[in-house]
Amino acid sequence: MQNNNKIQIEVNVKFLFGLEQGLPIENRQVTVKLSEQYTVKHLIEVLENMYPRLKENIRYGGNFVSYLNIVVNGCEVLPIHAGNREITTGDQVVLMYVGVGG
Amino acid sequence: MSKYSAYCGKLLRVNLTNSVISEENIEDEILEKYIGCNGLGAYYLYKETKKGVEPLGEDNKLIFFTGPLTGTIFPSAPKVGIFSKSPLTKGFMDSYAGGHLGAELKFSGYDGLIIEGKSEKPVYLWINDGCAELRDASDYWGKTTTATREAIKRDLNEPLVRIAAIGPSGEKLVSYSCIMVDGTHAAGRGGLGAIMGAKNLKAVAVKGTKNCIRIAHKEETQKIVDDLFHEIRTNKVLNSGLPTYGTTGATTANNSTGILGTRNWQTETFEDAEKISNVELADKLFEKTLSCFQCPVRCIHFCKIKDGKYSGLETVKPQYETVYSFGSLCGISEPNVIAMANHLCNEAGLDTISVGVSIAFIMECFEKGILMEPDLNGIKAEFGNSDSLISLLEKVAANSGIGEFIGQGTKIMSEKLGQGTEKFAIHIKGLELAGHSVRGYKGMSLGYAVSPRGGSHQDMRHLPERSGQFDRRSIEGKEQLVHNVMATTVIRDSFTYCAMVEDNIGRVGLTEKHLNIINAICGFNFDLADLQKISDRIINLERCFSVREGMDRKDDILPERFMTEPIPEGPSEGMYTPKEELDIMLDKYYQLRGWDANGVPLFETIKELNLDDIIQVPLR
Repeated sequence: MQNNNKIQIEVNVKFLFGLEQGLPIENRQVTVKLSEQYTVKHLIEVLENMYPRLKENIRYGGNFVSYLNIVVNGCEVLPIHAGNREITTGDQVVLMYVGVGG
Repeated sequence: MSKYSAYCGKLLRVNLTNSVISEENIEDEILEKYIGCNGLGAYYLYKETKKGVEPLGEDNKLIFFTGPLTGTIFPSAPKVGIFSKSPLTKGFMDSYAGGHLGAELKFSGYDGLIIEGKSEKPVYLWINDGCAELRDASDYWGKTTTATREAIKRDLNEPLVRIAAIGPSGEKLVSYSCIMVDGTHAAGRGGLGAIMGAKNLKAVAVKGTKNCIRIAHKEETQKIVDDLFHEIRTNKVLNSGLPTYGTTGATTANNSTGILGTRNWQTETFEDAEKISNVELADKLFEKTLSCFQCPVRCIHFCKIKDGKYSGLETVKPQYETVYSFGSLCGISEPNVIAMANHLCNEAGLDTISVGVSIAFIMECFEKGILMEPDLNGIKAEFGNSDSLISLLEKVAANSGIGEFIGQGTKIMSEKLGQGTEKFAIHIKGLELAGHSVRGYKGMSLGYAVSPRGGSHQDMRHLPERSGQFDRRSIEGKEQLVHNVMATTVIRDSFTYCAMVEDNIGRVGLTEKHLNIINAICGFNFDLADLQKISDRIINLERCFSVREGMDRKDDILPERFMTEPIPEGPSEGMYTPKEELDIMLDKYYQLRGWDANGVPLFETIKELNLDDIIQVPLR
C-alpha cells in the first residue's frame, strides 16, 4: 500500500493475557489512527509511543519477546513478519502473550 | 546405588493383596534406556501387566514415578507421574501432578512406587523416610479429599505430610475420577482415581527428610539453573501473567481467534468470554498464590468468592481447562459457578475436563430432545443453566441417579444412547477433549488423533501453531511437527519439568538445553541422537501397550463433529479436519514413526529402539 496519499485508517487493538498491565488502557482495548504506514510493525511503534511502558511488556533487549502473539482478524502474525503485514480500517489486532500450560 | 546422580536408584513395591512391601533396585541400564518418570512408568507398566488386564481388576498396576530433576535445585520440576491402564480408554494412561509429593518421595529414598493387588479393606500407604506401612483407612472411606487429608495428618500427627488421595468418586469407580495431590494438584486424567478405589487404597502419604540427592556436575548444573531462573524472571508470562492469572488467559486468547470450545463445540466463539476472562476471574476470585516445590512461577491460586453465589467459599481457583469445560463448553458465564464446580470436583476427586465435557454432551442431548427432564432426575439441562450444571455435577460426584450414567464418560454414554449422539460425543479414544481446538489447529488434530492418551493436550502441544510459528490452517509438514513436539513432551514428562517452562527449554524438538540438563544433573554422556532415540523408545512403548490392548488406526480418529462440521462462525470460520485430511497426515506420521499402515510399530522399529527385550511380536 502506498503511503503518499495520507489516508487515515482506524484499527482496533486489543490487549490480552496481562500484556496490558501497567498501561492506562480502559477495557483492554484502544482505537489507533494511522496515516503514515499501514503495517502491524508501524502500529506497534505508534502504540509504543503512546504507551512507553508497552516496550517493557513486549520487548527484551530491543527485540520482540519470543512469546509475543500478534493476531490480525483471527490470524496469527509472527512478530518478525509484522513489517510485511498490512492492515486497514476495521481490522482488529490482538496483542497477547502465547499462553503456556493449561 | 545407581552410578548416575539425581536418582535414588530404588523403587517401593506394595502388594495390597498380601500386604507385602519391598524395595527393589532400578538397574542403571533401565535408567539409560528410559530416563525417568514417563519412561520408567511406561517400562514397568508394559513389563508387569498382561495383555487384556482389567483396568479395575486386581492384576492392573498403579505406578508412581518421579524424574531425575524432581527434588533437585532445577526450577519448576516438581511433578510426579502416575501410570496405569485406563478404565476410561482401556489404553496406556499417564497423568502428572505438581506440588511437593514427588520431592518428598525422593527425599524418602524412592524414585517410584508400584502398587499391585487389592486390599481386602480400605487402607492408606504411609511412607516415612524409607519406612513404609499400610494403615487402616476404613474411617476415611466416603470422605472428601480434603477431609481425608486432614484426618490422615491428624492420625499421623504430621501436619506437613504430603498426600495423594481419592474422594468418594474414586471409591465408587467413576470412570474419570482423579487422584488429588495436596488438594491443589490433580493427576486428573484417565480415571486413575478409580484404579485406586478399586484397590481399596484411599491415599498415599509421604514424608521425606533425607535430601541426599547428588548432582553429577555441580558447576554446570548451577549455570543451567541460574540461566533458567534469569529467563523466568525476565519472562512476562512466567513472572507476571501466570502468577496473576494462572493459565486462564487462554480463555479470551482462544476466543479472539475463534477456537474456544463453546456449547459442546457446536461453535468456537463464546459471546460471554469476557465474563469468564482471566481479568474477571482474578478480580472476582483471586486471593493468594501457591508455589510447587522449587518453582518461582506460582501459577496455583487460592480464591475466596467475595460476593454473590457461593459467597465465602474458599477453594482453589480454576485454571483454563476448567474454565473451558464448565464455562464456555456448558455456556456458563459466571466465575463463581465455575469455581464451585471446580471445588466440587476437587473434593469428590473428579477430572474437571472429562466431567465438564460429559455434562456438555448431556446438555446437547437435552437441547436436541434426546434426553428430557424426567430422564435427568428432573434437571433441566440447558446450556447456560448454572443451577443445572451444579445439580448434574453433584449427581456425578455421588454416582447416583443420572450421575451414574454421566460418570461413565462421553464414549459409553453415546454408545448406550445411540440416536446419532456419537456425532457430537467429544472424546478421542474415550478421553474427553481438552480445551484446545481440533478444528482450529491442523497439527493439534493429528496430535490428538495419535496421542496415546486420546483427548489430551499434553502429548501434542498447541503452542507452535498458536504462536504463528507454524501455520495452523495447513496440514503441510504436520507429521514432522507432531513427531518433534511429542519428542519434547515425552522428555519433559520423563525429566519431570513443568509445561509452564517448556517454552524455555525447547518446544519443537529436542535441543542442546535438554541434553545439557540431563548430562549435567545425572552424569550421562548422551548426545542428541541418544536422547531422540530415548524419546522414540518411550513413545513406541506406549503405542505398543495400547496396540497390545486392541488399539490401532481405527482408534486414531477424531470426533465426528470435527471431521464433518466446519466451525460455523468467527475468525476460524470454515475450519475443520475432514477424514481425508486426517488420513493423509496419519499415513505420513506412521511412516515417519516406522509403523505400518494400520498404525502398528514394525518389528524393525521395535528392534532398532532396543525394545525387543520386553515387547514380544506379534503384539496381539
